[in-house]
Amino acid sequence: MCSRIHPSSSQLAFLGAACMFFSMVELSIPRFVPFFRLGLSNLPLLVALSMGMDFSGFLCLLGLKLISQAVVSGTLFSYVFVLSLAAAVSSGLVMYGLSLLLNRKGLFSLSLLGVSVAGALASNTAQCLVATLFLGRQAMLLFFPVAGLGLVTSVLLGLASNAFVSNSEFPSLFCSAQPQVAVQGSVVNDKRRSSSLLKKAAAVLMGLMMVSIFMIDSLWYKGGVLAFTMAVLLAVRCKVHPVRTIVLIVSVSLLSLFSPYGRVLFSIGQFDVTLGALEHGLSIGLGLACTMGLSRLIMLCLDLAGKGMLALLLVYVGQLGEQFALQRKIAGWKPSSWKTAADVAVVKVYRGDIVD
Amino acid sequence: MSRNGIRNGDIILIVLAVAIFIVISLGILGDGLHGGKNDMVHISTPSENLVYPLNEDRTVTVDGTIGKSVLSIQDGKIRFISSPCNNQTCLHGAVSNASDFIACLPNGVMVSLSSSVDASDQEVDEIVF
Repeated sequence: MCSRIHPSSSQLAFLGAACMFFSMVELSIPRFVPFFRLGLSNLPLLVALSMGMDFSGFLCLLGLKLISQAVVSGTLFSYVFVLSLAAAVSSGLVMYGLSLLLNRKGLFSLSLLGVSVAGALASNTAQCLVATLFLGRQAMLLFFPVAGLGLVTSVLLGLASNAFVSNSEFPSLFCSAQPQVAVQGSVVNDKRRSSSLLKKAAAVLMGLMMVSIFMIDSLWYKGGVLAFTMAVLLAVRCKVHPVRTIVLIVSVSLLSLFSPYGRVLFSIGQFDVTLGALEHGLSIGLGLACTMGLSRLIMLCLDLAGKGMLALLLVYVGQLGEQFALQRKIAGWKPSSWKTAADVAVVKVYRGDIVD
Repeated sequence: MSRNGIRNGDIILIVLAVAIFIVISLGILGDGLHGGKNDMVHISTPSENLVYPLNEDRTVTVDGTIGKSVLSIQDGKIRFISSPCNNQTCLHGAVSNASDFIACLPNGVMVSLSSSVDASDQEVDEIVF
C-alpha cells in the first residue's frame, strides 16, 4: 500500500476502463428488478480507495465511471443518467469518507467490505429518492427490493474486492509504475468519423422529440415515438431490448396502480385497479422507454463513443476484454478461475505485456 | 484481522446498514398504510365506479340516471356543484370525514369516503348499548 497518491491521467484512464469493462459485464447479466444493478463497476473504485487514491483523483474516477457506464448502457441523455448521478455522488462521498478508516487499528478499523455496504445503501437510497421525481411518491416502494438486494450484492462485492486486493499484485504495481499502452491497432484508431451535418441535424431532431415526450401527454404519441425509435435502432443494426423495455413499462404501470384514480376497472380484494392510474403509469413507462431509446440514437448521431478523452480509456477496455476472455480460456471454466483470470488480465494490460 | 480480511468496523457498518434499511422500509410501508392523507373518494353511479384521492383537487363529471352530475374535490372536501335533479338537495354540504356520505338519489350518484386510518379513530355519531 502506498500513501495518498494522486493518479496520473493514464492511471485514471486505466481504472476508468476497468469500470467500463465491468459495466459491460454487468449489462450482459439479465436484470429481474428494474433500476437494480449489481454494482460490479464499483470494484475498481473500491480497489482505488484501498490503494489510497486522493480525493481529486477519486472524483475524476467517479466521473469517468459515471460517463463510461452511461455510454455503455446508452443512457447518457436519458433520465437514468440523473439516477446514476445521484447514486454516484452519494455513494462516492460515503465511500471516500469511510475509506479514511481503512486499515486502521482498533474498533473502527474497516475493510472494503464495510465501505462497499455503506456505499451501496447510500447509492440506493439516493436513487430511490430521485426516482420519486419521475415516478411519484410510490417509487419509494422500490426501496425495499432494490436496497435489500443491494445490501446482499454489496457484501459479495466487498468480499471480492478484499480478496482481490490481498491476493493480486496489481495494487503494488499501480503504486510503483505507470500503465503502458500496448498498441494493437485493432481497437480504436481509425473508427473515428466526424459527425456529418446530417447526423447533427438528426441529433437535434431526436433531442426535440425527447422534449416533446414530456410536453405531449398522449399515449398514442408516446407509443408512436417508441415504435419509431425502435424501428430506427433496428434499421441501423443496433440491439433493441424488447424484454427489458416491456419489463420497464409493465413495472412502472404496476407501481402507478398503487395510487388509484378514475374509473374502477376491477378490484382485487380491497385493491381497486383504476383506468386513470393505468393510463398514467403507461404514459410514464412509455415516456421513460422513449427517452432511453432516443438517448441511444442521439449518441449514435454524435459518434460519442471514440472521442478525445475517452480514447485511451477505450483502448484499455478493448484490451481488458480480450485479455479477460483469453485468461478465462487458459485458466479453464472452473468457478474460481474468473478471479485468477481477472487478476492476470488486469496486471498484463497494465504492464502492456499482452503480445502473445 | 480475521479470515477474508473482515474487520470490526465492517460488522458494525453492516449491522448499521441493515438497521437503516429496516427503519426506512418500515417507514415507507407505514406511510403507505397509515398515511392519513390516503383518504379516497368513492363515487358510484349506475354505470360505473370511480376512485379519486381526496387530497388532490379536481372536478369530476359523471353520468347518472337522468343526466350529468358535477362534483368538485377541493381542499380535502368533496361536494356536488351541479346536478340535473329537481330538488337540488345534494348541492348542500361538503364532506371530508371517512364516516360521511353524500348522494344525489334522483340521479343515482352516491359518494362515500374511505380512510386508511383505523376505524377506531373515526368520528362516531352515537354509540348505543
